[in-house]
Amino acid sequence: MSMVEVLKVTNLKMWYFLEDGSKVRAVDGVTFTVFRGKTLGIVGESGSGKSSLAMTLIRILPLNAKIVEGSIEIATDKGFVDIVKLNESELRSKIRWKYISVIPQGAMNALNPFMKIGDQIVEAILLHENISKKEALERAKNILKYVGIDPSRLDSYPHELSGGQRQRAVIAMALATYPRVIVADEPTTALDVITQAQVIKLLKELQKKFNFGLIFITHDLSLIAQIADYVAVMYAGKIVEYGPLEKLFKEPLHPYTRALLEAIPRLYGEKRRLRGIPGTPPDLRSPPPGCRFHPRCPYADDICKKEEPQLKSVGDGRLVACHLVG
Amino acid sequence: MSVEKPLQPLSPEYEEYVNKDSEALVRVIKLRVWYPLVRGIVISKKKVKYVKAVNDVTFTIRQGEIFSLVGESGCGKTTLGKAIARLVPVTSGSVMIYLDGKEVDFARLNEKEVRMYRRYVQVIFQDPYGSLNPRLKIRDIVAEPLYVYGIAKKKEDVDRLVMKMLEQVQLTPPQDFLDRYPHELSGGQRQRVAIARALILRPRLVVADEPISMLDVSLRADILNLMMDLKDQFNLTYLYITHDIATARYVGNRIGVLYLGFLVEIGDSDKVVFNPAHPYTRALIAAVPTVDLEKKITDIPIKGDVPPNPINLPEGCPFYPRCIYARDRCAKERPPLIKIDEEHFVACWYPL
Ligand SMILES: Nc1ncnc2c1ncn2[C@@H]1O[C@H](COP(=O)(O)OP(=O)(O)OP(=O)(O)O)[C@@H](O)[C@H]1O
Ligand SMILES: Nc1ncnc2c1ncn2[C@@H]1O[C@H](COP(=O)(O)OP(=O)(O)O)[C@@H](O)[C@H]1O
Ligand code: SF4
Ligand code: SF4
Ligand SMILES: [Mg+2]
Ligand SMILES: [Mg+2]
Repeated sequence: MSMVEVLKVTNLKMWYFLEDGSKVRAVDGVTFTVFRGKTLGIVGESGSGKSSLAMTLIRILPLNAKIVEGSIEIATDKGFVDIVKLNESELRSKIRWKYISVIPQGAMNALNPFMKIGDQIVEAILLHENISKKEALERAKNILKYVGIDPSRLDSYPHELSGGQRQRAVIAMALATYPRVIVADEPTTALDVITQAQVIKLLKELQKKFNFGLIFITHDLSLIAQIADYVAVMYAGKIVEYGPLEKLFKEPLHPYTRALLEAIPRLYGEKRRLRGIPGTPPDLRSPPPGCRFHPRCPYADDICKKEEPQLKSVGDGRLVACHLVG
Repeated sequence: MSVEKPLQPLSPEYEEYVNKDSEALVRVIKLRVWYPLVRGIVISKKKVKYVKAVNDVTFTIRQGEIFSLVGESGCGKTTLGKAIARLVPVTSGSVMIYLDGKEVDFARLNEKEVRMYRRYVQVIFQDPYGSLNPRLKIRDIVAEPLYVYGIAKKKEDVDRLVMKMLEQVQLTPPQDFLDRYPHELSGGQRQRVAIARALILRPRLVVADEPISMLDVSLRADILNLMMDLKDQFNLTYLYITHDIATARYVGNRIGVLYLGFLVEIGDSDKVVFNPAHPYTRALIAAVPTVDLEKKITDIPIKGDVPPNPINLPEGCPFYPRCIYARDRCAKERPPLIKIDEEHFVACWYPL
């Protein structure tokens, strides 16, 4: 089975420009590909730039944010289109939601409390597609069924739904225009484990059915293990390791990936003392020179403090940015 | 409200397990915490509804052990922890704690006694952002309990104790932290301050309510390790509250599983995780994501995704509405905790 590319992101940089003249390099040279029907898991600590990356992909950004470099190519009926190069009206009418949609972090708690769920889904469809209200309502009913909400709940207000149901409704909105790529930013963080497991299962089932490429963003490596086919580990605005799930988990190569895996207790494993990662993630206004992980890395060498390691191929479809590897 | 009829019947074998536990530091007996739902003017006392957060829970916490309490959001974990520390009013039941050679019922202390004894039971809260007073410096946050209990009055004594404590939670050098405010610290550092504040009075029992759930994975291990080290150093006993059954097993000697305010399973932590006997425990474990690639979460053996309602408890087994193994008896009779193995009890008519 050949792999079909649906999204190609190349050397993407998005920085926030602060009033005092400094800049936050939240997304700083990110490259990855998303394939049809496959899931790319992006994992990183809080503040590593995950949400910034998600919103950059559909270019819904605050005024002080700017894409300073790179491209975001999305597969459309007319071939690949670079989202970075489009003007806002083209982006809104032709690409956003039609080909790529995002479930922003915390969206389930940001639903309009005064509007019925059904109306919110219909509105989302009509905003991005030229169909009649009646057709949109039909579609909304179907989508709700797919996400496991009884269509009779169309008339419910958000507060009448459980957390799990609200998350399902938000997924329904992202899915309602049948995009080729869905970006889900921490979609289960606010849910308890049982509901979380049900939402993960739902996303997998929907992906089988509709074949979209999924970007699943989380701070939790154990969720990555559940859903991803490929993994990108993000640290301080950059991808430091990328590879197929099994290979990356069985033999993590980057010291940061290794440390993350060591820090997590295994349910059935031997009870050993856990190992944390000393220090804290860097301030993205003034990231450390050289390798951004060097102040926390047990293997850091002189070269690590001076020269920035590039993300390079080490075979097996794997990429690593570390002077020690490759 | 009828206090006479127990919400969860006690089997003789479980009663014995609790009453004859010679290592118990805390003996929680039929503890009930109901929050009255008062809307508008209360016309008749009879009509008041309650959020039935904790329903006649009975268990021990042993001297020097870490007892892990697990369950999904809203099942009553925090309420149970707060009731043990006397931070919420107890509706009925008792919390017997052995202090200075005698047994004190925390649930029946009057205000004056609460002030006298509360120093022995300290709480570390889930949210390191919300639980520290943002207007106080770290020095004063950690020192406050010393003033409240009149342990040290002179500034140099207080500073010495505070600095020693900061060192013990590895905020070093302590001078660097004394004059900072909580917002100037990272999440992990704030949680260390909360631990320092909780331990400065040398409590016997520490209720740690999801102390790591708001922290990044990379920081969690350090805080857990610190808590374990301090336990040995200060001869502590922990009630560790979490929804993460993997860390519950890692640090816990025993695990108790709470569902809808009922204790549905209790036992040696390896037994509970490797041989869960209650259908809810099994679902909970099946749902836990882990980095073991062999263990994928697939079908969670549970009905529906509607959370249980603590205002109207099901008549029989509390898990009945979501249990895939339920039979007729379950709808009518509430199961007591029964023994299925040494150090392992379950409240289910048809244990797995
Ligand atoms: N002060 C209060 N007044 C009324 N109801 C309350 C109060 N505090 C908690 N509750 C209710 O009691 C039940 C148990 O809540 P509790 O906070 O103990 O759960 P928990 O297991 O700690 O949940 P979480 O995992 O979300 O922290 C819930 O239904 C909650 O809404
Ligand atoms: N609107 C903004 N203006 C300035 N800085 C921001 C803004 N939004 C996020 N940041 C900063 O960008 C960095 C990455 O944040 P974010 O993308 O939210 O990370 P994550 O989702 O991985 O937690 C952080 O340093 C954060 O403080
Ligand atoms: S480049 Fe150097 S500092 Fe960075 S991860 Fe590799 S060894 Fe560590
Ligand atoms: S008693 Fe019945 S309903 Fe309750 S957990 Fe056991 S089998 Fe399920
Ligand atoms: Mg985020
Ligand atoms: Mg709680």
